[in-house]
Amino acid sequence: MLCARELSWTVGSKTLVERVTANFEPGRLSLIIGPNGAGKSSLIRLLSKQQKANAGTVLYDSVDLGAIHHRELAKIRAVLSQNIEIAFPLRVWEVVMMGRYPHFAGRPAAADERACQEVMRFFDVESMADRDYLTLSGGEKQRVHFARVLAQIWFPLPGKSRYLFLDEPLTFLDIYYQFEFMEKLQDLLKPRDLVVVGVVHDLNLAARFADQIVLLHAGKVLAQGSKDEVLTRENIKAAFRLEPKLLRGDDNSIHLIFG
Amino acid sequence: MPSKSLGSPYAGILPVLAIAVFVVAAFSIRFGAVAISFSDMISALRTGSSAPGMLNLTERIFLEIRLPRALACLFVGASLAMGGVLMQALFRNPIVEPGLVGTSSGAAFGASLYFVLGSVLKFHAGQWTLPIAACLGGALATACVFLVSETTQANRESTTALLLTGIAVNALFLSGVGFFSYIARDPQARSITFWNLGTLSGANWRAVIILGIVTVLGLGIGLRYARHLNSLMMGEEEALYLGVDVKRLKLTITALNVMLVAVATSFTGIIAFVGLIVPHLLRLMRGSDNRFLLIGGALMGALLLTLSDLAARLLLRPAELPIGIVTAAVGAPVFMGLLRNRRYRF
Repeated sequence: MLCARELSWTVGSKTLVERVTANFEPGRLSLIIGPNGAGKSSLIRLLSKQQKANAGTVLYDSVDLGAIHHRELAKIRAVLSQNIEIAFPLRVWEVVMMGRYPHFAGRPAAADERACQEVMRFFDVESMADRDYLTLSGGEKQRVHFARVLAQIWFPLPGKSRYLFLDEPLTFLDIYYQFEFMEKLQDLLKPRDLVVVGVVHDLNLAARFADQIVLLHAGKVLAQGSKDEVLTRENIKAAFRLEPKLLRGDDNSIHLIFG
Repeated sequence: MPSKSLGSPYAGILPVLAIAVFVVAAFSIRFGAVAISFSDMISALRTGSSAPGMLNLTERIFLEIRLPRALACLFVGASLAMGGVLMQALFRNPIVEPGLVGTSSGAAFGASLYFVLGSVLKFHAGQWTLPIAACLGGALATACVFLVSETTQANRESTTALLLTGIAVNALFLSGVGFFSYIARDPQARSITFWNLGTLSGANWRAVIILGIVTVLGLGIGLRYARHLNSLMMGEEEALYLGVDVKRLKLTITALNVMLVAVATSFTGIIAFVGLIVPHLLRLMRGSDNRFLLIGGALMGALLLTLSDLAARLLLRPAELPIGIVTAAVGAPVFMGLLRNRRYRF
């Protein structure tokens, strides 16, 4: 379980995140939505310890995040950021193996090799293993980074949760891979020891896949809960300044249409 | 997918490089103003260890001039190339090298300051004084480049800021070197000017021991951090997510670069382009794993500098060219070729 309590982050006079309190449970897909500049990425940075909060606490399985050393944290928490640029030629499997770096010193152990193989199969990048990363398309690179990030926390840890943060993971993907990735995430959540917190822009994807939605606006939580609680006409209008039409599918799905 | 560990596609080339280094070094010792046969070398090593007083002239040239020079050349080439690997990894940029970030000119400044004022100074650390003076100068100039480029970075792309700052700081420290050579009395001045262009002619066993210690130490420490440098290829944030203490890493790597390059520079002067080109060539041959780049860089740097030294001694025989002229004359066109390579983004 991941808990944020009254988290705030201020840079100069600008408050990026203001008193955010939220719980993220393992086994559920939690998505953060909100307009540009709402503090979505900033919240991910605080939750993943890229950035220290000015106030408030983050708890990983009721342990204060501040007390976990970066080296230990890297074994249980992985982060997919936006726009990773590599300036040097590397083979795809080398990039994926970087995800295992926190787990071995010197040469990779058999478990590390196995994790890489399994995760590359899982994300369907096995066939690119020997290709130069720099020659891949944007979408292919993104899938390689999925594999790398998942390799980092691939094996379940007895008695501990694993944490995965995704900052706009779908940016470079076409609609097929967007759906495929979200479905794979749902697969990964089945062992119920993985906490997944992601930022997405596409509200309909959030509506389709999220178990829990946090709607941010100006650094504050405007609404959180199930999609039925969060994706209301009033909430969306307050956050995005556009009024959506809400369509209900027969299976209780929600579809938002703008304009 | 076949099972592979990081390193396997790299391994094959390292023994080849090692053999090439050995062969080229042997030929570099063999040729010069006086040719020394391989049997002379073997007998010199035998006599030198048992009865040093019995050496003939050729054997003494071998033991007191050629051998230390060849070894110094290997260590300096290795140090400069490793400095290049470290700086390129740190800045995630393939056109950065120790000369660009001020390390070499700062080291030259520190060393020439010591040449001119050394006799006045109260501080002495024996034979380590010159390398230490160079390290201090190198550290000062490198810190200047880093700090100034960081403060100007806000409104410019970081590489541009670094390049421009590097040009300015290098000019400043080289003007300092020029100033010292101008005010210096004659014998000192000559050594400073020659030394601006780089030369191995002063190599002796004292230098070889210091260079050897620093090179081996540098390689050992560098390899410990190689994996962290690999994760840094994806950026500082990603490295942090992989558990790397990025601030400490940057400081350690910078210090390591200063140590390697400044000590080499203190004995040979500024030798350009080795640190820039060697990592490129290795990456084109195999890839970018920094463990490979450090070991392969040490070998290939040693190889290239030995070849350059051989050329510097043979081209105008019996006179000798400053080696920096050779490395720049070869390195600059190679670098221009690399700039046109579309595989890299700068």
